[in-house]
Amino acid sequence: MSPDMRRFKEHRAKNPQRGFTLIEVLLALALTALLLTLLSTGMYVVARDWNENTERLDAKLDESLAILQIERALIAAFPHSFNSTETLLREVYFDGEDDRLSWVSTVSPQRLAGLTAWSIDAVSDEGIGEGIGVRTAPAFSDDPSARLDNVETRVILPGYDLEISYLREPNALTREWTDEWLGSEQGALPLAVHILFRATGAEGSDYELIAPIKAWRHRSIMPNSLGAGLGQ
Amino acid sequence: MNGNRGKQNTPRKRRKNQQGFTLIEVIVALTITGFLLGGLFSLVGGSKQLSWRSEEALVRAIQQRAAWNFALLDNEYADLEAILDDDYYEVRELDDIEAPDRQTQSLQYTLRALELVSEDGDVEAVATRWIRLQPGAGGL
Repeated sequence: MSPDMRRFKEHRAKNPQRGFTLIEVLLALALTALLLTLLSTGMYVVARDWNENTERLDAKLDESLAILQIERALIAAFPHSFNSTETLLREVYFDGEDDRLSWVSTVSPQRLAGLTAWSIDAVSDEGIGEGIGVRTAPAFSDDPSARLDNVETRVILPGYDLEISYLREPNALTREWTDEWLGSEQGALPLAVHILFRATGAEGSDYELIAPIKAWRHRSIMPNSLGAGLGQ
Repeated sequence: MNGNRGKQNTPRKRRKNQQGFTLIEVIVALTITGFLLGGLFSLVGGSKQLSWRSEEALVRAIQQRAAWNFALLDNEYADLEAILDDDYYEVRELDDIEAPDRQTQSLQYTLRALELVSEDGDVEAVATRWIRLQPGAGGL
């Protein structure tokens, strides 16, 4: 045996280097797999939760924007008047009951020039779903209700119901809320509109809006034949 | 026999040679794993809390607008029926803005400051509104 070989053998005997046993490798692999599974499950949970929260927040944001949009359209309500083809009298277009309202506003969702007729009500339809539906149509110099009826309803607040009240001032010392306002009878706009959006499902919170109508006492834009003596 | 004994001896000898993890190593590994998982779950909690807070802020903003619009409709001389469903925000009256010393006519209206106070007692907004004075109450 050469001295080199002997030295090598001695060296090996002193430092017995060996590989891993099968058990060890398996154990290590299993542990790594376990950790990876744990981590990726964690990641999955985090990502799913994150998406869920984002979606809910998005939905809430949409709801808030829809409500602000309606409020803005109500604040800018206009005493649009037309000659009724039935009675031949001049009527103001503002048809409000406690669960639906149509009016004419100076603003529109598309920022169109001219006046826009709006209509909101609670809808429950197989095709479009359940919630608050909105329709808009251009208001020309006539009664816009026929055009409004032809427009497709868009649901802007799914899962909501509504209750509308109108503020009137029967005399200078009282302001009270009524659940109906017919422009054809009143010949003017209400002072303000209050809408309570009630969430029909367990989730979701109620919203409220109060829109003071600026044009209710505006002399220069009073409905034509009714200008004198109304709204003080 | 000898061979058998040799076979039995070898694993025992190996086990003696085999070095397990030290306590420190195990603790370090566990700590790292713990930190990673903790970080992940704090992320979950954080995002959830953030979205809840934002949702609440949106709802509050709408409520505040309604309360504010209602406060501005209320001008004291006409009794205004309360309608708001939600009473998170309360309107608190402050002082009248001082009337000018010299007037050519008696005052019919005065400006009164008001503030919108949330249920937590935070003042959210301050503004003024017109208040009609009782006949003979103001002015010279």
